Amino acid sequence: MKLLKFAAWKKERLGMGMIVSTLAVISFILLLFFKYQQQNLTDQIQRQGTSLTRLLAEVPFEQLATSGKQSALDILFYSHSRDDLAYAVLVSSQGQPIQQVVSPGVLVPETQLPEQPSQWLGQRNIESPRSGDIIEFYAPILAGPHLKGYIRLGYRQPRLIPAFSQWSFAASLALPIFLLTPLFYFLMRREIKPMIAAQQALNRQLESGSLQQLEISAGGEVGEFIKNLNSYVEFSRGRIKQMESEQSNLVTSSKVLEYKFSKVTSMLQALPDGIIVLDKCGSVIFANDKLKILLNADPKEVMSEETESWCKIRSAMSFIRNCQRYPGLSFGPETIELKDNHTLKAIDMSAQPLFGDDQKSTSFGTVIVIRDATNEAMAKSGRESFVAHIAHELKTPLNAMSMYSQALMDAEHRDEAFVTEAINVIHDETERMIGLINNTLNITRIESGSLGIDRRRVKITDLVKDAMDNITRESKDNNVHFDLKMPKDTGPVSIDKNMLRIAINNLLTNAVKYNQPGGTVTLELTETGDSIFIHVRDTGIGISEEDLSKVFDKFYRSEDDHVRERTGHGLGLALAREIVQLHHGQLTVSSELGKGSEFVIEIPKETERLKQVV
Amino acid sequence: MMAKKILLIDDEPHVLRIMKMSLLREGYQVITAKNGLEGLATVHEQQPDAIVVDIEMPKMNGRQMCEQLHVDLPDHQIPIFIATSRAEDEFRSWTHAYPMIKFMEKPISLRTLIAALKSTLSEPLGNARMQAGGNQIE
Repeated sequence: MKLLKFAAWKKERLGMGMIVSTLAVISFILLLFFKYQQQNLTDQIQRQGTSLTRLLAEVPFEQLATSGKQSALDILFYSHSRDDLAYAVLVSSQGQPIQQVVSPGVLVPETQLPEQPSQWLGQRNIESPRSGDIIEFYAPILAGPHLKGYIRLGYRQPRLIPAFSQWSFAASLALPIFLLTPLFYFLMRREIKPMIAAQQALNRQLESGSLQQLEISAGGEVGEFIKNLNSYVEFSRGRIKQMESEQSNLVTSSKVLEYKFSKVTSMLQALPDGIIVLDKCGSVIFANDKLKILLNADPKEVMSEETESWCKIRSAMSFIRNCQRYPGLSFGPETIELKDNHTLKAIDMSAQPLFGDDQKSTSFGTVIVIRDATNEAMAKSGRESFVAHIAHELKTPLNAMSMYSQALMDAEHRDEAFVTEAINVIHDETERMIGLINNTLNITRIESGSLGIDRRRVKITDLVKDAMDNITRESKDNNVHFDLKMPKDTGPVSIDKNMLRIAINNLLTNAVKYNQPGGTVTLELTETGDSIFIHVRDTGIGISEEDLSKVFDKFYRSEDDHVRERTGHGLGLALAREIVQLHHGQLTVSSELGKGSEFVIEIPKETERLKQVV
Repeated sequence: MMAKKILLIDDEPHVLRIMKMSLLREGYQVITAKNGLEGLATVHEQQPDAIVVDIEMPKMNGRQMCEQLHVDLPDHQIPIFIATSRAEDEFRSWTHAYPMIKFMEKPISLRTLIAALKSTLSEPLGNARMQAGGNQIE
């Protein structure tokens, strides 16, 4: 709206300007005209005044001095056609007025008459505040050589602005000029009308924000201008359209990129491993949340801070610093073990350069993968300690055997008692080694899952009796009594006979080994509705409360002297428990120090197991 | 000359017995202990001339015993032979601070043990020699 008002005002200003300039032109022309007229009049007065003064100077003084209506001056004055003659005065040579004729309202100015004869004839301008400016012509009146007086003729100086009566001519001159103004104005308005329409259309388009061609018909220069303007509009619309489509393409591709990026990010976040991505300068550009768990580092800090400040694990820090220092190289995998409150924790770190699809010449960064390797480290450490135990357990009987056999070779030792002792020791230690090796093999196979359980329906009474016979035969020199208690028959059980035999045998061997001289080993088979129980009882040294919870641990041997006096490897009970658990049963122990122990194998009956499955 | 006193420390009764038997025949005076704790007490009581100790023992193992002995008697000059089933460097590194300790890998040959004891104990500079070539495996 403001714009329109401004345009309207501008439009009016144009008209006003035209009027003002026309008036100025008229004024200027009139001024020139008046000036010319004034000059013209002045020239006329000059000529007339000079000649008239000279003429009057030729008239005899007396004639001029004659007063009355017929005086020469009166005749002159009244016969004068012009009204600009202000006065005619005859003065004496002393300057006294002798005869004068004066226009009404005019006062004859007093003036100094010239003294030098050369100045007697002439003219002068007199400024008279009362009568206006006067041009006075004067001439001497001579009588022979004598100066009789002067004749002075005063004319009113013609004014620049004429009297009102003379304005009609000026008006008739100004009117047509003035009338030309609206004519020009309307002609101009007619010419610029399409321009104004175009301007208004452009204003509307500016307000509505749309760019359209102007549908305005005009001829001449304006038509040409509008035509050019329209082709410019068309060109601009084309450009805008092109830019809009380019922009929409850009927006679409940026959205696609954003989607792809968030997809990749969520994939990287979902990985179980810690991920750090470095750009080709080595700065971290991505870090996933798993770093919290693996390196105890906040991913935000990883992205914004120096490695030294967020990475508290020295070797991990130096690994990452290396990757940052040498981007484009691959490192690792490097296993870093972290001891945290005696619990083993380990991570594997590896770094690979990132290459584009096309070529492998330049990398655009590095990805560092941090994997939790605690399980592997624990397995490795477990394997190492298992092997260490086995080595120790094998070397211990070997040591005794080696020493005894060496002693046997030595002639000095060959008394009968020693030979018997040596043979017994070597035999015992051999048995111990065989037991250890068998138990180790079985336990390893059970743990690795390679030893499948071959379950068959068997008469458990036969198995128990066999086991009892076996131990009785093997331990006939041990000064231990055996007692077997069992019902004639039991409910059906489905077991792996060979494996369960190993378990029972291990329990019986221990019962003999840790018994007191003259003690008893009892093997008892009992039955409830759900399970079969195999009890192995001894009257031996017993197990302390502290040891009771550990007796089934692999390689655990009590520190008790009574236990240490007897050979053992700490695998028998562990294996027995594994075997019983494979049968879905359980192996429990109860004991009293110095009085004996009881191990109980509980195996669920088949019907009970079926019930459990159903 | 008084017989040298050897302290044997092992939790294996057979091993302890055969070693004792062999060393007695060699003319040594032999005392035994079943574990590190007992062995340490015996060292204080009887001041043996040499110690043969197993590494894996209940109550106090061979390493703990040696370390405790060096705490109790920092300047002791008793040669110690450690019988171990693991003689790799990583299992021996702790003895670098103790030049009196020598390793013997199981199974131990009685003859080697006796020879080592003899050479260490018979020579007046035996201790010094052991220091120079300390921690070697026999």
